[in-house]
Amino acid sequence: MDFHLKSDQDLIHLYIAGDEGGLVELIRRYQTKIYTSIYLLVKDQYLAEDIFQDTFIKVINTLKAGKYNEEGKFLPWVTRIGHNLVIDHFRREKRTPLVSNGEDFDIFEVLGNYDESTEDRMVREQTHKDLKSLIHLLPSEQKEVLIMRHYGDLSFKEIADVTEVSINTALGRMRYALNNLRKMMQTKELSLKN
Amino acid sequence: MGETFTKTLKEISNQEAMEKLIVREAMDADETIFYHAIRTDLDKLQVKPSLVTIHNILNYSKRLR
Repeated sequence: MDFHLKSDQDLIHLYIAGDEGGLVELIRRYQTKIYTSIYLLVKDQYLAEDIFQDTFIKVINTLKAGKYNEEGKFLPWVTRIGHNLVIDHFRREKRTPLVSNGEDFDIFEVLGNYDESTEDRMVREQTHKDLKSLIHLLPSEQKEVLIMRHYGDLSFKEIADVTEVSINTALGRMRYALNNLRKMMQTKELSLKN
Repeated sequence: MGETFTKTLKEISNQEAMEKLIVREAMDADETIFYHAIRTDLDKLQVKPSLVTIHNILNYSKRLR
């Protein structure tokens, strides 16, 4: 059977009907996006692996229990589960994943206080090409919107629901994230030129 | 007699279309262009989980059969 030609919905039905190939294809199709969205939030490979595994265990249990909502899209649904598990983890750890100053956050303060190790310096020298390090400098609210939107394919309405804010706030956070990234890239480019 | 009014009103009932409209209004051109410019770089950041993790998930699923 050509699983890669099947829709997500078909794969889910096949899996629920007992064909493990359906799950294998769904994992193959989305493992990178889902894992990346978790990894960029927790910044730890082993923790990301654990949360990714727990995410799919929840997915499996929900599908096997016949509780999957057919109306939703598979990738945003799994991304939401992963995101909630990340939040649970940080709640248990009683810490937030990043500097979180909300909308008043000033990216230049972070850049000025950036504690530069040798490794950090190497990263800095890659300027805007090293987007990953810049994303990690964003406040958690902005980072999670950017990640959920880009990797999880969530709509702003879905992001708003997951993060319990209005659509306008979710949109605003995306705008701040993009503007802050752009400022950081420009600042780093300038600092290298001088 | 000829019809002199529109029977169906053109309204945006589709949630996705409605959201696109809101997004278009909220994001200015610079932000949209910038986002499109970094999309490729964002895609390059993608990483895969280990095979061990994938096997653990598939084994869990098989055990539920």
